[in-house]
Amino acid sequence: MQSAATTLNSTSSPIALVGTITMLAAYAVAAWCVAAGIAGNAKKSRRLVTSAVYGLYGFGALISVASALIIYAFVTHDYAIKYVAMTSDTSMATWYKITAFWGGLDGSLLFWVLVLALFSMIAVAVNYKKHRDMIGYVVGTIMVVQVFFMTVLVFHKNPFATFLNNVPMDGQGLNPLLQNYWMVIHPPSLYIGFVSATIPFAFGIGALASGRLDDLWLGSVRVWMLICFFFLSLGLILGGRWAYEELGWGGYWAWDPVENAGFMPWFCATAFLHSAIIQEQKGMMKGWNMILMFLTMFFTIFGTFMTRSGIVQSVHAFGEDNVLALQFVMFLAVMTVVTIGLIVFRWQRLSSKMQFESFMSREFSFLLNNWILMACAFFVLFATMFPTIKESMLGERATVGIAFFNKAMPWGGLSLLFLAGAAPLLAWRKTTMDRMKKQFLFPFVAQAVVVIGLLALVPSSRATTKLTFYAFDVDAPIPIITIALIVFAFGSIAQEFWRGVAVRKKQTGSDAVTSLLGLVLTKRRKYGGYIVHLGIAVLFLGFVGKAYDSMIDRTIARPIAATGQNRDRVPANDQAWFAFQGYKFLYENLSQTSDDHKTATTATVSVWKGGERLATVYPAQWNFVKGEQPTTEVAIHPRIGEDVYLVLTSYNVESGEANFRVFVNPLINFVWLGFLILAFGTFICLIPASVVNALSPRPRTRLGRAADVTLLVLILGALTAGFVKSAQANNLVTDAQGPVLLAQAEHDTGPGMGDGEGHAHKFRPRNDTEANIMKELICMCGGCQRETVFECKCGYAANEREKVQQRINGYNLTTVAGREQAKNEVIESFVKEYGNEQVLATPRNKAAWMVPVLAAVGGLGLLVFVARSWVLRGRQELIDNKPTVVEDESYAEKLDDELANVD
Amino acid sequence: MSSQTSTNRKSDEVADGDSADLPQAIVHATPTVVALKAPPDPMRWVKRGIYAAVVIIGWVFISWSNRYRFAAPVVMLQLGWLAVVSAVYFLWHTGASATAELDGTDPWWRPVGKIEELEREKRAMLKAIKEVEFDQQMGKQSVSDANEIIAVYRARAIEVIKAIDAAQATGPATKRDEIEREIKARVEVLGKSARAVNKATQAAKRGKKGAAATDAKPAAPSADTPAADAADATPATVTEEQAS
Repeated sequence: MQSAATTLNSTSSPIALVGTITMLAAYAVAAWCVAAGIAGNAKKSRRLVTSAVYGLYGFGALISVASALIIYAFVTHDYAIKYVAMTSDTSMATWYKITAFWGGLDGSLLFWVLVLALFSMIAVAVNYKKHRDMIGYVVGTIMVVQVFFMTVLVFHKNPFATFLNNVPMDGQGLNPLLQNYWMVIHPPSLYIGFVSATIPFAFGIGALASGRLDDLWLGSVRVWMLICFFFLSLGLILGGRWAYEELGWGGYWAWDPVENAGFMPWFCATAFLHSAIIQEQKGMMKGWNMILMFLTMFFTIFGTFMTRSGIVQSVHAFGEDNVLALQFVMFLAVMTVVTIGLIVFRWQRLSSKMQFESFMSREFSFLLNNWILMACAFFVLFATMFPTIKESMLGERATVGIAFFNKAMPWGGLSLLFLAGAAPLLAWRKTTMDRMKKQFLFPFVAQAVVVIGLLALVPSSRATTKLTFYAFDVDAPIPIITIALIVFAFGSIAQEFWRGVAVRKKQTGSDAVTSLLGLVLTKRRKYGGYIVHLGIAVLFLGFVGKAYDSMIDRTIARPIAATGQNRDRVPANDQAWFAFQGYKFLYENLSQTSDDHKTATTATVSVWKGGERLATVYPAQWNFVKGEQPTTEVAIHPRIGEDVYLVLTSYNVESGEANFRVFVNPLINFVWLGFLILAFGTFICLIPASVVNALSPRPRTRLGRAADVTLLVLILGALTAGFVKSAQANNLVTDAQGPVLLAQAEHDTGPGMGDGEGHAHKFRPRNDTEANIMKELICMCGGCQRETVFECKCGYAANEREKVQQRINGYNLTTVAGREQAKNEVIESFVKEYGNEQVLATPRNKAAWMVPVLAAVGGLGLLVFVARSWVLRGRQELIDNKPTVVEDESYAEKLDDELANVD
Repeated sequence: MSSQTSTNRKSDEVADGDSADLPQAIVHATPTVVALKAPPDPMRWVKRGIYAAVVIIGWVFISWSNRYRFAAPVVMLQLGWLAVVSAVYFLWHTGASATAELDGTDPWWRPVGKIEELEREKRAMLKAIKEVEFDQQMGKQSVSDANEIIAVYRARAIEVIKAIDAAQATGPATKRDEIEREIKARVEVLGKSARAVNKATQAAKRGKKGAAATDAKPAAPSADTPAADAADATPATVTEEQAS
């Protein structure tokens, strides 16, 4: 990309000229804000700080101008601008032209700056007076981040850069994978999550620099961290939904570096939200909270660096760019040095007397939660970076596939799930054994009843999955353990609500519904948090479904339309249908339609169960005029318990032959439902006290309250239904056009439109051993991103599967030892063939396993050691500070009066 | 902000002067407090009207030149125009603020003060007591455990209330400027009505009278309580040192 200066000299587009000038002006304003904000705060110059604040607003306005201009360039097809030409074309829908703004690297950086500018305008406007003695530093810190991104934009990745000559008549178009409605909202929500981490970070730096380290700043920061948590969650779940619908591999989470980039700050933000409560309740952990805030910010920038510098391979990384990588590394280094320097400088004021009274206390459960979350964050960081680390140290690249994460992460996930249920049952300071028994009784009984019932009545609940540590595999009943913990969490939270309502009823004398609303609204953070825990438990229920999902590949030679048979029933012969997991799939038709933008080849398949037609679905492949690869448009038939998910993997328009991959994904809709519950809980936590106060005095009738509750239920129901139903949206396109018979197809087979045979169905595993081996081998074709040969749909993967089947011949697969030997030796043969372990989905390198485990166990040891000394100190403190003097009567009365006004 | 009048700039300078200027500051206390809550700019609606008119004229022009077809390019141009006008508005204020004479003696920089911090600690204590009571009623703690913890919290809460009372009561003469700054800062931050301003002024006057009385009879809180220690370790101590 050319720099801004070059653009000014060579522009052939007035939009580019004005846009570049606007960005240069914004750059200058940002620099002024940094200087004025920091110097103004340091010199206690109100005029400079006020100027910096207005400068921040002005910067936001200038960046809005630049953003409006680039979108204007997109919608008016100004292909003199390189970025516009590379990420859009004339045939794209207007909606996608607008979203192409963040579809490429340059625009996404400008979009980042825009979102941060708008958020910081709100944050500064809201907190300007409240935090007036540190607002200069806050503005300065935010604008340092902006200056960094503006430096990248102005000198290296100018989105307004123009072609020197040969302006194209049309653009290259947006990556077809990004032309999906989820991509309209997924990137902005993830960006907002990333960007909103900058606000608490800026307030933290402001507090450190100004020395105002009391709890005032924490309240404001907590709100922004909650916003960050919400948008990161939203971004991640929408990304998952996009992957589920668009990538056609039947899953929603692939531990891709881009996904991990959003997940790491999510862990840190979650840890902060818990440890901030300890600071508020007990005045402890100030230093640790500062560190968490920094880590959240660090991971957002680091994640951006990972995906934009090309140091990791990802399905949606932006390609390798060493200059950009260097700029990011420098910024991260400066940010780290400054933050750590300030923390060290203020350490005396940050360090508080750490004292706990018992390990059986809520504060200790929060500490454990922090340890697990941070262990997860660092594990994800380590595993994501492991290939790069190994390459830089040994010159040999490794692959860390989904399997590695899936084998290692359940430990952390299940521990967190247990804590989500257990922590609410513990009291602050200490819980005696007697009380603990009473608290845990109901959740444990509920858990036991459900687990015994499931084991007795549902044989599939006895399924086991492999837990691996380095070279050791253990078959563990992970699904039933997860279900047990989910039930425990449900029971615990239900009990909290039940008992809370009972206490509230006794206190206020109101009915159950009023008490419930009163309880949730007066203790919003506590009960909103419980609802978030409930959402997490429901999410885990969705994750359990992964243990039971199933997949099949089938080839059907001709659709029933071509045979002239009746489509209203499944024919007796199986030439046009196949059965799977209790469903029958009738291949009815194959049609092809086209527009300026793409050619769509759509199969019509009816899904039957028990002789009844459940639905007609339309799996398709779209060949974009500007795209290199066809995109898979999956068809999903959602049911309450499971999704039936169809992929058209290949086809032959002439003969009508089609290859289908079918997944049956049990419980998957609980993933989306869990997120909705999580979002609702976060929303409750974010309700300001002023809103509750405004609502409280309003007289309510029973009818009115019932109406409120009904409205709430309807909103939630509509959201859930909308979310689930949206999975079928793809069907509408072909539905509207109606099924087109082969004879009516507008276009014949063309290049890149499938060779009629496909590869996905070839050499499928004949037994579990073959399947396990195939799941351990990465497809090395170069085009597939970390997919195993088991799931990859390309021809290279089919050849690899064939090799596996050839090499496994001769082994005795009737014994466990024989199967193990076959697996180990066949995998070893692939390692020898490729000369390194890059072909393995799970690295066999000891360091890959040992480093995170040692770090996590070491962290736990340190935590227990330190916490023990805090507990001892706390107990001594309780004895020493036991109030012996009788309370001053007048002050005791005053205190009682004040307590009466606290809800 | 940049719309401050020269009157309040002058009074700010006086109010935040050295301890040597203290008598003058007291003399000027009333006009200072009143002036800090500057009357709203009578031209503000005119200014806002001009801003809105410029935006709307631009929008109408853009619409007219595009024959009133509201397609995506037109919407983008209109949003862009709004951003341009806002940028000019904010950048003008950026420059105007940078050249305003507001520095050095501004009560803006006074921290909210120890009373605010004590109030926050009191609120935290009250919530903690309620939380323990709630936990006990929920069955998470025995009555004896809860009472033990509540007793500790109550003792601390009473200490804090005493410290607040001590801080609110008139302290030694050298604390006058601190009280005055506190009032000014609060009035500025809260932006309350004239009634609030009058209250603050009266409080300042009371502080003046009380200060003379406490010169003869120092330190209301007992010196051996932690709260009293906390009260002593405040900007007031610094002021005393500066004065000496």
